[in-house]
Amino acid sequence: MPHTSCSLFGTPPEDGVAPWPTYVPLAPWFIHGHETLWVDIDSTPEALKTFRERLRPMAHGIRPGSEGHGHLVVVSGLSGTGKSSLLHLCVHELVQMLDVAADRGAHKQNGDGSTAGHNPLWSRRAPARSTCIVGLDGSGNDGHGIGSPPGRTPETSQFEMVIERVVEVVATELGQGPGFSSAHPDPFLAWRALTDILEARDRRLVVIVPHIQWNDAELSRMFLRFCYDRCSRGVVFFVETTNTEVAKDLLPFTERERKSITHLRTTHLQAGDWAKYLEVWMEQDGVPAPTVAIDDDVLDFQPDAWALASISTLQDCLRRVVEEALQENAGHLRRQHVAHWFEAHRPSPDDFKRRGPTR
Amino acid sequence: MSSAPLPFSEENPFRDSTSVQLEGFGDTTQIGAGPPRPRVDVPGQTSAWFMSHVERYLRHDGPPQTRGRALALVGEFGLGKSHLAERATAALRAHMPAPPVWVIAQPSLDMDAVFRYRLMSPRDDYDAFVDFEQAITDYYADVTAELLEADSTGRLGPARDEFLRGLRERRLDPDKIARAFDVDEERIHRHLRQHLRGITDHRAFATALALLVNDLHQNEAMAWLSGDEPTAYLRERGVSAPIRGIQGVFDALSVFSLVYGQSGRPYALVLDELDKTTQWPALERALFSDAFEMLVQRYVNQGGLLVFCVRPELWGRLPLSLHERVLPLWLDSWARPETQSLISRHIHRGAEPPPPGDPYAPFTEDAVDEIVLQSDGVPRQILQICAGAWERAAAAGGRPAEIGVEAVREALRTAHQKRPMAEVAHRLENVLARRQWWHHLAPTGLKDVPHPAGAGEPRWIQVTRKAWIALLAVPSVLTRADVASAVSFASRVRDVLGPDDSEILVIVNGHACRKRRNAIAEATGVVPLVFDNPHFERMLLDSVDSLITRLRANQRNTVLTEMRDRLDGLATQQNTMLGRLEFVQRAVEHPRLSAPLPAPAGAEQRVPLPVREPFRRVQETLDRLLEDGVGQRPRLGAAATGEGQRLPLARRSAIARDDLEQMGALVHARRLVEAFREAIAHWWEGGTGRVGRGSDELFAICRSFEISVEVLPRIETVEGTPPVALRPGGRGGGSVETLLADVADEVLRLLRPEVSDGAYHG
Repeated sequence: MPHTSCSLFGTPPEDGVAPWPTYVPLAPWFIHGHETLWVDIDSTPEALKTFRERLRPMAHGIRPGSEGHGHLVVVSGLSGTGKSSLLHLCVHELVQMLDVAADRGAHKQNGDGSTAGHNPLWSRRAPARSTCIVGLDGSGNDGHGIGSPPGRTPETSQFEMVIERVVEVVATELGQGPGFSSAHPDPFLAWRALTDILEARDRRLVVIVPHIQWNDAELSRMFLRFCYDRCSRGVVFFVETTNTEVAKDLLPFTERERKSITHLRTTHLQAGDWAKYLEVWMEQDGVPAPTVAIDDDVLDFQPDAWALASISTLQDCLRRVVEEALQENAGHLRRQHVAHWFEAHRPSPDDFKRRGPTR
Repeated sequence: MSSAPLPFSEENPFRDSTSVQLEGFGDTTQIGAGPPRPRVDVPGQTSAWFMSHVERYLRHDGPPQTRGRALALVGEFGLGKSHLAERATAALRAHMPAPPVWVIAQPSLDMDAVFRYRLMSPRDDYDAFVDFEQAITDYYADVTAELLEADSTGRLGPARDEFLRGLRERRLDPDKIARAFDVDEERIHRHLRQHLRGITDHRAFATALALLVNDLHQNEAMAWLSGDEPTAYLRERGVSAPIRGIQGVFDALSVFSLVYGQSGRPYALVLDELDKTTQWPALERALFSDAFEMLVQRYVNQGGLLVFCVRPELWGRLPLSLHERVLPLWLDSWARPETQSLISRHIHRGAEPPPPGDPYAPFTEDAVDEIVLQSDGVPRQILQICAGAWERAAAAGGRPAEIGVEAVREALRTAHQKRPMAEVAHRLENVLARRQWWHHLAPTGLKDVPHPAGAGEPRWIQVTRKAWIALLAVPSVLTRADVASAVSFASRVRDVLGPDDSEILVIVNGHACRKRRNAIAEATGVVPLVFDNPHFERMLLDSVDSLITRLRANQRNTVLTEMRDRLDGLATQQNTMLGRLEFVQRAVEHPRLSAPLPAPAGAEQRVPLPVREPFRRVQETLDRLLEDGVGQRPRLGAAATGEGQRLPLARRSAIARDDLEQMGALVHARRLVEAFREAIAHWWEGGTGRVGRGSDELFAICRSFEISVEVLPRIETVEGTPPVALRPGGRGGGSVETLLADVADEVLRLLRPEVSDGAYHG
């Protein structure tokens, strides 16, 4: 059976080469055009609203060298619920706000921004004028890179290793040679040196931290405290976590400290999200072949709640439905086909049997 | 007799190890090419009872909480405790599916090493590991089910209840479900850790166990659970130290028990030689005891099976709480049927089924009886005796045709009398010399006393001048004749020295079964010592000590009796003497007078004329003073009533003690005067003329009066009245004493001219 990879419901990579991979979050601050694929589903509209309401008034205050002005954004939600896409969209919007604020501070006219509009779709976006963006783990932000394989240096604790990596990655981004943290053994002074560089260059800093499996409430709290403490002098941390109880970890922060912390949540999909999501893709041009046309009546279909558990589950289902349709050489995705597929693929307890002997 | 083929016709069927060593790891691989010798097992009552407990444990189908039990195999050396423990271990390991079985063949002070190297850990084989992981996964499933139940998104679809039930019944994989349905793994982990903390009651173990379901860190957690140092990853999560020390190891065992117990799986711990701990330092022993007690509780409460072997001495010393939780199975000595069966099974080893009637040829019936007697019913002894007897009988080559009583006895002699009597004597010398008890010639009359055949020269310890202890070393005491010859020596010694002055301690250089030992003890009153005993030296010193005490006590009793008799005699004599003395004293104090005392009325006329005046004067003075009395004159009658109309009150007339004393003195003074006058009259009448009356006697009378007056208390007369009519020329002062003293002087002066010589002593 020939493998038919479809780009529908995927994420366009740089240059838009097919097939578009799946399970990759949208990163509009990095790739031009990703913002067009954004759909306001599950609880993201409220999350975005919260973000804008909290960050917009204080964006102008986020300046390098200005003590106490920074921010910590924590995005929590189960895996597959679109945390990373939401986070990247927030980064994108924050960078734009910061650019505007920086321009205003420098009394520039907002002329340069209009020329950026002519960039071709799926091309890499030019670096922000005012801000350095450091992703600790690429745009996927799945945390595998930083998730501290314990076998490598078993004598170093996970916490220390993560902290050292944060400093090293930022230092590299700012043009410092490798071994920056070993040259600055005091973590406070090391970070101070980095923010001094930012100040000298008049740049803000956004650090994107993936979900790290701490498996320990204490470490998880300590890490949030570490990130919060670095959010000063124009530094903003975006921390992603699948820990749905992260709100409890934020409780130890004082009321005053919590003014510089924004917590955003992603959840499962709503009943109407099915149609919303499909509509975007039905109208989307430039999806590389092979692809199928989606019948209008598919929008009226109501999938079971299990398929709406997260956007990634939904994407996965749709991809498989479409691939099935492609294999049957059907040019259209029909409602009957969809209904049949969802009926047949309803999760059954038999698929989750335990291995090994059970007594 | 059975004609069943003998598989070991050329070989001694009893030449086997007679002690069982428990193995920490199950291993069924056959070693070498030869056919494995199946272990012989004689189904006795205790054995059947014990195995039924093990079987019942494995087949338990009630609630898991009621499954747990702790069994103690209590018995002396060689009764087969380890053998039974091994059978239990084998039965547990053979059960399908095999439950985890931890075997500690010997508790050691270095429990870390035991835990790391000798104890089965889940890492040792894949099945054990999967089993352990599955047990943890059970908790994972419970936590996942709990979180999914609280989820309101409907992500499980219409089969939600089926999913939850599948998780709780351990059919579904919680990890797969968590991934497929995007359940928050961090949250599951936190809940799992909390759950495990509640179950294990131990934070570090909860952390490590929770990490077992995390593939990335499973190895680290497993390594720590097997006794390794914790990695940095574990350290930063609070697992700071490796499992160390007695407490740590028992904590680990206890946690393992909880992991299995709470998930309803059977599991067992077999601990042999608990008695090893009695030799430990006190601190370690206490630690072990507490930890062991806790473990027993865990096993009983959490559905585990704990089997341990212990000697009766330690069993008695274990805390009461353990006695309440542990079921003791006492291993008894074997009687004839079991002994016979054991012998038969060894001879016909491998015959399946065993030949009926337990044929024991080539052993004769008497030989078996002898074995029952000499072995004291200890299986290990039975096997050793049989092996020796077989060896001896087969010395000529081939299979022995018959093994009789003599072969058995000869085997015992060879096996037990390993050292020559000279060495025994030498050893005795060494031990006794330490307390300067070495050595004396035999007491008189016992120099040539005949002693049993093969026995060494008896040794003598002199306790007191007359009391002796005889130490007699004899070879194995197997027959009645052996006992009798030792006893005859003892009675000869007693005849000569007397039963209270002699003790005989028999030292057996060889074998003596309980019955023979008792026979000797009964006859001599002293329990014989066995030279082979590892504590022989201490026992010898203790025995001699107590025999010395016993003899001294006998001696002391004799001396006491003698002393009491003599004291009785002395006391009687003294009483007689005392009676006589009292009689004499009474006679002296109250002599019989020759004439009755004259009446006082005529006394005045009998006084010589020259002294009548002074006597009259002093008599009058004293009479007057007595008439006046001393102190206030008593007045009786109603007291003054004052203004009230009350009844008149009675009045007490009191007198001061001094006044009373003075009045007494006056009375006595008058009596002295009367006696003085009487004595003078007597003296006067005693002679006629100057020649008849002696001046010495007169002087003595006057002087007697004078010194008698001196001791009278001073008499105070009423103030203002002249106490006495003073005679012109008398001594001043005017007191009663002066008056009386003057009277004596005056009488002597007036009567001196009337006596024969004029010598004056004054």
